Amino acid sequence: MAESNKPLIAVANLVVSFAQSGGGAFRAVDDVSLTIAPGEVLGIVGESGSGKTTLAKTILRLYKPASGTLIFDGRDIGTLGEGALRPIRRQMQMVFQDPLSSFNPRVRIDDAVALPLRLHGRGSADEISCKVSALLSQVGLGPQFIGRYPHEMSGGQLQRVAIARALAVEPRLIVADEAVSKLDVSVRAQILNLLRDVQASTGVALLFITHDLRVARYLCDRIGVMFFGRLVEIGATEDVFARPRHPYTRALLSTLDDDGGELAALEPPAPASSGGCRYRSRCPIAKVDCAQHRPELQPSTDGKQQVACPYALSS
Amino acid sequence: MSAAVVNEAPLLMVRNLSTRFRMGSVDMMAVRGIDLEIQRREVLGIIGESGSGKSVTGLSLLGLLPAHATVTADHLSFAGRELLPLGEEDFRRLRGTHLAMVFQDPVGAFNPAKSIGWHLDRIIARAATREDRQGIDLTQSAHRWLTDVGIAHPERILPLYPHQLSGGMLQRTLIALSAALQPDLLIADEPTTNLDNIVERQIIGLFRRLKDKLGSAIIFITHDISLAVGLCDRIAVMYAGEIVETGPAEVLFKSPTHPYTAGLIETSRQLDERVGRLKEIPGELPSGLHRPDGCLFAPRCGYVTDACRTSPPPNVTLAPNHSVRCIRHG
Repeated sequence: MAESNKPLIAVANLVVSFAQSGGGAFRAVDDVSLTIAPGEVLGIVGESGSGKTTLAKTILRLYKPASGTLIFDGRDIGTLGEGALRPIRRQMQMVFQDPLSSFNPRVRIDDAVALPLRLHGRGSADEISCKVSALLSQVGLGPQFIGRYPHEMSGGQLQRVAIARALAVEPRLIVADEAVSKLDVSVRAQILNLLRDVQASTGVALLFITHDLRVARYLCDRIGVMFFGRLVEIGATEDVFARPRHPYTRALLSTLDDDGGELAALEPPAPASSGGCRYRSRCPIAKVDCAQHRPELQPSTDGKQQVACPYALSS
Repeated sequence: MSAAVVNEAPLLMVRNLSTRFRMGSVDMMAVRGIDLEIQRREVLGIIGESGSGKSVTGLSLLGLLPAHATVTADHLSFAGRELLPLGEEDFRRLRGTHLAMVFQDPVGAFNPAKSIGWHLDRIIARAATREDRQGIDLTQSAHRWLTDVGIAHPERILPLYPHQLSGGMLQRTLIALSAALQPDLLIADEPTTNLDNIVERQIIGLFRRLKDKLGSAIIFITHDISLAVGLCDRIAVMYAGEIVETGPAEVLFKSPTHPYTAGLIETSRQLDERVGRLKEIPGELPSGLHRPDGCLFAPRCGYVTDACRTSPPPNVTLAPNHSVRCIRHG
């Protein structure tokens, strides 16, 4: 990977764990390392429960990592307190899956967009009101929408407002968590086009969390694949889709084929405590020592991807 | 497999079905004048976005709507029997024996306080009430279905409670239980929407085998046209409560006729081809209360003319199996 650009986000050996009711801790994100370059669109795919959202929320420092480093723009923010995080929060914004529940039903949408500007002291009341109009127009909403409440808007329109609100404070990273998954199919294209436009015109980096492989392939420069808290493969979108290496990535991408879908029993993943590769219980190429060594990400033989499987590097 | 069944009367025939909901002083028409038929061993896809009336159609067919809904139809006949005049008790006897439904949310379909085995027992007791099921070991058949859906050791999950299974496992279990009923008609409403890609593919494969093994008819309701094309024999596309196009799946996919169908398929293709800019269908669905006059799609349509805005478009038969509701073909 090119090292010329200093990454906007550099995550190394990140672990996020939650206390379990029966005692002990559950590692939702387990030793993940990745970078996001300025202006890059990185997609994270994986099934529900694979840790995609936890990873994203930890990068935003909505969760605190248990260990590992989290560098934003050259600064370690993994252990910062709430006060020190405040100026950094402005630079990272989020767009959620369900547009209706991401707005206060009693707050007009122009106030919702103005709020982050006020919180971060970005101008006088007049300046803010001008800026809100400009932002709404940037996401394709005319002045007739000013003064409306969330329930007076459709899902697609509200998702536009959510994007405007995220853009308001000129962030350097926007995390979009399943941001088009709940939208109607005929509206999804509008929002995908908008995300592309916004990304191109502002140069903001995008961390795009999705379970929809086709949307990820459409939008993202690079793709990371997660399986039960681990990043098992990462690389340029074309490379990953053209030659998926990790057995899990292959299984996942084979669902895009018309006749994919052999009904194999989905074994639960090997227990985290057992050490070794957690995919081995489902893996068609598992070897005896997969139970002993936990595979680390390493470059594939052609250097195009990083793959967490020593037996899939050249396949 | 038996020979073609072309001349057989349809298993389900629907003519001019409408469903309205009373909302205060106004009536909201959720489904308006739809015609459907489905043969045994056929998979019919109903495609639509949220608010298109596709789920309400499924619920109307099974008589599962709440009291403030009114269903009317010229015909709603199942295996030659009109369903609408049936009393609740007669209808209930059909559900769970001849008719079954799989919902999007498997968690809500189970009683959280009862084990999987309890549900299985209830389903078998229900299926056994059918006269043509006497002498069949339904428990064994249910276990076989559970194995078939990829649950290797059914006896291990029977003592478990719904919350102890993952969403994918629960949906598989639900589908296996529905299959164990061996219904004549299975309605599946977005059964894979909450599941990850691998499980989704497997469930689609499962429905295929269900059709082949049981000879059941399946109505597969989804918002994802590319998913439907892989599974369904025929597809009906719904928009704002009406069927705007219906035809064989491959015909619809290769040469869609209604501008809405064409738009959905175009977006889906462009997504796969990673074009620079996706073709948008501008605007959004009309709400149930504010319907445009004339064609419901007119405000979003690229081919709109003045005539489209004044009178509803005719339903035009293009081929014996293919019809479209659009003035351009009238």
